[in-house]
Amino acid sequence: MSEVPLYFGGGGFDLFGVMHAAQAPARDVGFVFCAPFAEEKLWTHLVYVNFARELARRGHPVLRFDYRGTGDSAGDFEDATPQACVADTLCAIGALRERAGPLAGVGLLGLRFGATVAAMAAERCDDVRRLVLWSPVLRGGAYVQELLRVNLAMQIAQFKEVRRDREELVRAMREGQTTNVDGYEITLETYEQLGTIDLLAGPGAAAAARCLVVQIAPRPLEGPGPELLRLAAQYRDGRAVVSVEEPFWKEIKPLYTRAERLFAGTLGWMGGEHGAL
Amino acid sequence: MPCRPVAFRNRDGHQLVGIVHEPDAGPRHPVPVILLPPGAKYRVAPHRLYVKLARHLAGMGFVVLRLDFSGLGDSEGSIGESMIADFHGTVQLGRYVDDTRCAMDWMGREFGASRFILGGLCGGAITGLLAGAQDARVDALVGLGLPVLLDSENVDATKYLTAGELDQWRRGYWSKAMDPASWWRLLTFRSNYRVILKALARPLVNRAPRPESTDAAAGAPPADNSNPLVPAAFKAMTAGRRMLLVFGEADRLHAIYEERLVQRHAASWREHAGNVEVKVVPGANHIFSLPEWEGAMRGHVESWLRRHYAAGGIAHAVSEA
Repeated sequence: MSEVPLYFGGGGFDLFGVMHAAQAPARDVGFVFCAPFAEEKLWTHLVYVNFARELARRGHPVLRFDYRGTGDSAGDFEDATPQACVADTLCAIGALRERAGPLAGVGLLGLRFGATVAAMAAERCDDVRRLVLWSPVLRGGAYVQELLRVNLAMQIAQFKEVRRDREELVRAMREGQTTNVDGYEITLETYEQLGTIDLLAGPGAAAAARCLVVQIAPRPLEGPGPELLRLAAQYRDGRAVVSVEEPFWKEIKPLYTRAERLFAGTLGWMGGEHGAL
Repeated sequence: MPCRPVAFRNRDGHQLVGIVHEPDAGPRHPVPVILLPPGAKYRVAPHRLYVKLARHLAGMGFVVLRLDFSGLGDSEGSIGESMIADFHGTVQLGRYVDDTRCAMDWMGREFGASRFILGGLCGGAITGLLAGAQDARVDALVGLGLPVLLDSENVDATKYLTAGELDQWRRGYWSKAMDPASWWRLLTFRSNYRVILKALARPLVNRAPRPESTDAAAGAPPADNSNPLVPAAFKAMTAGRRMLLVFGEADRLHAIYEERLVQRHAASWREHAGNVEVKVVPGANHIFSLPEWEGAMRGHVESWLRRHYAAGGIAHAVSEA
């Protein structure tokens, strides 16, 4: 197993990543992994690591990386706006190409907000041929309201009451303060940028990419939800499926180092009718 | 302040990955700090607590290593447990003491250091305590939210115990041979049969034994889920070395520390009590998630380091063994 931790340049920040070298026989599509938001990144880290190792074993070079202000990258969390995360993903694509040898194309993989970043980055990079979106956040506006609710829950835990409701939190952000979500400071810039995100508005330049959209659910479903089907349909060769796994991006009792059904389904798509990579 | 990724092998041949923070300029303290991962999360810790702390400590002149233990983060290896509580239980019984010692070996080769300050939140704190009890190179411990309980009963406690620790448990079991309550627990399937068998069979554990504790209470297996290794480890660390323990006021682990460790066992390290400093951050939770809580925690750590580790010096405990 050849894995190299490294720093590469991105938008004025030193970005941390781990390069997983492809094992022979090498394939000509490499992958960049886009991390979920805030603490979800920590809960899902081992799943990302082990899927990167699976892809590397199958001949795909993989670069996992941290956006500015997250993980081991330079900067503070306040720097990690959605647009900055997209910009850093584009830098990571360049870093992958510099280190992986000749590639016919690049794939992006992400979970939750990472899937959202992957989809947005693909719109700005026609080098992206494969898109794997695990439980994507479709609308940033709804997502940021979830984040504000985490702050409310923290207030209840600490004060036994909500002292500042969501409107007051937003007003405070407009006055230059930040909102704490599980230890991460959300800025007005991040709040407003999240509010503009709508993956169902169309993939733009990424429409030509092959795309797998996965709905992760704790119990079997008859099929993916209608919005995920709409998302997949926006791509030339898009497919939406369901994978039964616990929500391992949260604090749960099982220890998730791998998500076997999710791995199998994604690898099956990669190696099946939607194109051997 | 510069930081760089590093990698080295542990005793099982697994590559361990870490980040070293080095001071930008000015005098460099000869005693590095190693921040040990908290539980199942990796070297950055909740809300990048360790990244921010490491940057701060590097600014004070300390070289800081944050690393991932085997099977965690970006390191090689794997974790066999399927439940987080069971995995935490193995950490609390010393799963990563060896990796910690390997980290000290590497830092010794890389920076010429012979003594170290270990720091960590939760699982990192207990790993640091147990490593310190076994390795004299540990000069001090900074423990955040130190857990003194075992999170799970479904752990093979014998897997990580040293020969000395098993000897302690065996003496504890013999001392209970005439206790009817102990026999009742044995006969009603509430005892840890695996540990009993291994302790009584004098195991072939191939590890260096710790200094033995003369405190029978500290060595006796507890009747509840208190971590049986903690009292003796605490005594070993306090006799000659220093500890700073920081808890959040709202962290239940603080109350548990007071009830299960201090009230039961403090007599055994009374003569060295001055070597332990405990700070409580008002209102704070286990991970110091608000900026004011994190700032207060960092302030306690900075103040303690400045008092005991003046630039170029190595701390000496108030009372030594």
